[in-house]
Amino acid sequence: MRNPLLRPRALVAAGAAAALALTAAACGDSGESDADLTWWHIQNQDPLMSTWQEFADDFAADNDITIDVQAIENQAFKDRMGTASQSGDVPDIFHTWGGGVLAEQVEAGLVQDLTGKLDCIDSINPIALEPYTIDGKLYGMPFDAGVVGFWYNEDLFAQAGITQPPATWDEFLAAVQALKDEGITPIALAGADKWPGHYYWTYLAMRTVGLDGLASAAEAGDFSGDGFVQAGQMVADLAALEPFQPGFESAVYGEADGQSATMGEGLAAMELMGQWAPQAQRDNSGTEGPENLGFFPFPTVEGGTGTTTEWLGGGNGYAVAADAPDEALDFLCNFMEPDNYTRAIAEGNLTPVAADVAAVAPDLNEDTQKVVDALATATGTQLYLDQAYPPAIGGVINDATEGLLLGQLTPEDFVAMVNEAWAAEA
Amino acid sequence: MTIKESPRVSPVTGRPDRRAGSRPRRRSGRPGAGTLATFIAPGLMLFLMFVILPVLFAAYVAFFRWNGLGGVPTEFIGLENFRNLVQDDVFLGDLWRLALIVVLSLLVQLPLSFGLAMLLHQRFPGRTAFRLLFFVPYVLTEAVTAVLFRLVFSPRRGFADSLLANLGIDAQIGWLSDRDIIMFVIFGILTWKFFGFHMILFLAGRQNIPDELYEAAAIDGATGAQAFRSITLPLMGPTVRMIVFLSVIGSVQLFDLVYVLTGGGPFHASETLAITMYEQGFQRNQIGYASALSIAMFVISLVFALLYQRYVLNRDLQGSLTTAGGNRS
Amino acid sequence: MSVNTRRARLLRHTGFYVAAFLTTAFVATPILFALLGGFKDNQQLRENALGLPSPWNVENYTDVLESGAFWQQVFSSIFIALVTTFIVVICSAMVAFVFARYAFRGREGLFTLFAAGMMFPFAVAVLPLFIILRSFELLNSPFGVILPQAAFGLPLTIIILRTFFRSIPGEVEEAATIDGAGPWLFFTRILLPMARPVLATVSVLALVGSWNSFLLPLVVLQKSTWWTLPLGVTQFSGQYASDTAKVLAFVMLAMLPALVFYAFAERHLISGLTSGGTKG
Repeated sequence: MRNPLLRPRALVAAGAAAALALTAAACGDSGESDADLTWWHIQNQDPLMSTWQEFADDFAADNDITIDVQAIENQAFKDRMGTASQSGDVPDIFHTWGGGVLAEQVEAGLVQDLTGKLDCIDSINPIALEPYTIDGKLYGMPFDAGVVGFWYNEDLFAQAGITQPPATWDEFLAAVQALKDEGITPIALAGADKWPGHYYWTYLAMRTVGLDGLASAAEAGDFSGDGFVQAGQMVADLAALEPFQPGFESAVYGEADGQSATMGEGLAAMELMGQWAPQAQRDNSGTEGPENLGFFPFPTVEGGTGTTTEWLGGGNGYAVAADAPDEALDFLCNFMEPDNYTRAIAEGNLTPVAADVAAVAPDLNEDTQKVVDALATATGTQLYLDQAYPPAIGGVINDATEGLLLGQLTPEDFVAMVNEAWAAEA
Repeated sequence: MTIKESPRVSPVTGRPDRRAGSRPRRRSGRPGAGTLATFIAPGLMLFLMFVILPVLFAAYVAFFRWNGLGGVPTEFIGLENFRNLVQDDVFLGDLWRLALIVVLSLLVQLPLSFGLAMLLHQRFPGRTAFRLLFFVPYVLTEAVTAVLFRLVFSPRRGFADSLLANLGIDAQIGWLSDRDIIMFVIFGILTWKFFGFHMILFLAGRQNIPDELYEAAAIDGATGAQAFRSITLPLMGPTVRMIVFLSVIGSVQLFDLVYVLTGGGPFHASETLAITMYEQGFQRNQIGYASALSIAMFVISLVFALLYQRYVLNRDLQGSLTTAGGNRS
Repeated sequence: MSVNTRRARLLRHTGFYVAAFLTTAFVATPILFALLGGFKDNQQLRENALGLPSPWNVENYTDVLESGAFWQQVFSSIFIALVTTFIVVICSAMVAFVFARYAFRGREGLFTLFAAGMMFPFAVAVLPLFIILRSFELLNSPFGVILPQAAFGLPLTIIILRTFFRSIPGEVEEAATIDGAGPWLFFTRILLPMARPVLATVSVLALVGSWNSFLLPLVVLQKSTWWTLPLGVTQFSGQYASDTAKVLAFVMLAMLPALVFYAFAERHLISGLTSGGTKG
């Protein structure tokens, strides 16, 4: 018979390789990592990244389990969490800001009801639990809560001759102009991330229509009121002064040239950001941050009903997957162990959520103290809108604010887009 | 081993075929339907399951409002997703940007690659090294390339700015932040990435033109330019048509590079169809709307491909898309 | 040779080299930036973006090489690419064999169906694919990436292989049949070995396609267990966003396998790509 170009060895080798490959794959088939617990958090910068890892390692060693810890950058986390929610398979423990995003995950049956399951819950200030409470049930445990305000470089303000933090919007615009005249970039902003921009519109709306106005607009899904259009116009007015650092349109919050690093290096006079800002400024710039960092509340708007004691804010917390093992709950409480929590507060400059702050944090960092003081006098708070509302609407608000800041949308466009998003969600 | 009686094998094809035509067409030794099915089944199943089914499914979901979280879509809304789509400025902008990329590719990138291919077709020392080198960007992963270029174009004291400053151009260019130039920056990166690929295709096309034609032309007294016009260009036709096709289809699904580089920003200035689809579907949980967008992309590609086949390629699929796989060299 | 033509040639060559070196600079600059940048520290990157590192700093590279994540991603990428290639080549070869050598009712229709797959932008299918994979519980599994990739690789592979199988003379098959070989034997023992160069070509295409794939792994693999390099690079650049030098080192190392592979498989890669794009 003809001798075909037969290569039995090659065929066997190929077959064996394939079989091996398939077996290897089958082991990882379900895609579950081998660890007993998976944990996604957004503390992707030291010191907290290492601290969190240590907490996990210690807990794993004590309980004889394994924990797969993932430190994910904020924006990437939101992306991946969105896909994971749709896949119906979320990590056992994951970061959450509460609000409408969490509510949608709860509705999809992805999140465990923690009501009455956490022994440590009594050690937490009940007010801090609100964003994570949906229909009377608790779906998350906060470890940090604070407010958004202007963090400013006092030396740069002084250089521009601004002695008093601006208390009204007009004063604020004047301060921006004064800084510009002095050749100082007034504001650092991460345009590409969108969420830092949405603080501006939200705060302005809070100042024009007040918290109640905002709540009733969300209730009705109608943001057509004059106050909202005015807020949009004010964002546009601010943007028209060109107050942001060059290239802000493509800047992200935590990059080497991003918003946080720009502040940290003293290249911009202020940023509108939450309680984590001072720490992030140090981490992202690799410097000690501005020598004299001040904090002032978002200014009031003339004729508006909002006051400076109404804060936009929120905190960071963890939720537990519906099908997570009980160790996940123990792990959450492990955080709240006085030793651990005190350490986390000290190292990461978290704003404590403990019912008894003095007990866990007798000696707060001075920046953190400013946030704690602000919270103490708060007459009302509003969760970040991109978390408070369902993702489709929060996404539109973020997106549309970017449009306002870049002069691509009018305040009327903005309102129409938000209304449309609410209508579609209804 | 039994020797079968019939020498008649290889019933090649039922239809006349240019390639098979030279072979004797005899029919017998035909394996049973079962055997044929066994050969086809794995591939067909895979194809139906992961190519055809998704497209059909997208077409179905496109008629619903659905956040995709569990279960099946229930809220039928007819054509509303499509009506919203054609009024969506972002979607319309995507189409406009797609057109821009295609036009720039045709007018700048392809002539550039063509020129370089003609250059490298000449014999001069070192041309192999250049050919190898020019192809390198094509080998690199798009997503990785994007991370690299994000750093190249970083806003403060970035590499690109330093480079320009060194050349005496002290301009603060918002490479990734200026809405007016972002598409051109992206086009520049696309050119960096893909010109080598197109150049290789052109080069292969050029090398397939027999030298005898040029020799004959030279004997007839044709100048180099005349030969180029009357031999090179027409005979490169199929290659050019194919590259245009690949270029357009590739542009329709542009995602990796732009998504990692800019995320589609600033404010949609660099967004592509696929990015809009991804954002709507995976970040805003608007699965129905994103499906409608997917279908729109599908229709765009399909209509383009059919028209292009019909009027430009004007020949059968297998003839134009491929021939003789890789045994050229 | 006259002085004239020699001078003309010299001029022409000068032109060639000027164009070639300009293009080289265009191509090589960003890559050199990554390579050298990885050897700098962030301070140097700021103050000395263009020059050579001084001192040379290998820490960024060694940090990445010592991290488990990097090697896990290399392994995942290789594994996913190999299995994808294996599946797509085997399935395509079988289909192409039947298409090339047997006539049956519906063959043209079926072939057109496969060929039409060439025109589906992959991005079109990714969203429904995600939902389908979800119901098959293939999310977070390497097979959630492998199977769709293989499916989308079928059309081109089938077309290339079919063309090759057609070109094998009928006499070869005749001889095999005389020896009593049925279609299976003929296919596995004669056709496939004869097709080795083409199989190498289509394999290289499938490998490269899988290696570069980003959108599908991005939506399928949320957990890092099976992350491929492209996902790893983007995640790393987010996580170490403020440490530019380290990101550059990671980028460079992530590009390296592809460059090495290209150095070795250049011929197959290029012949594969040109076979998809030109008339032979």
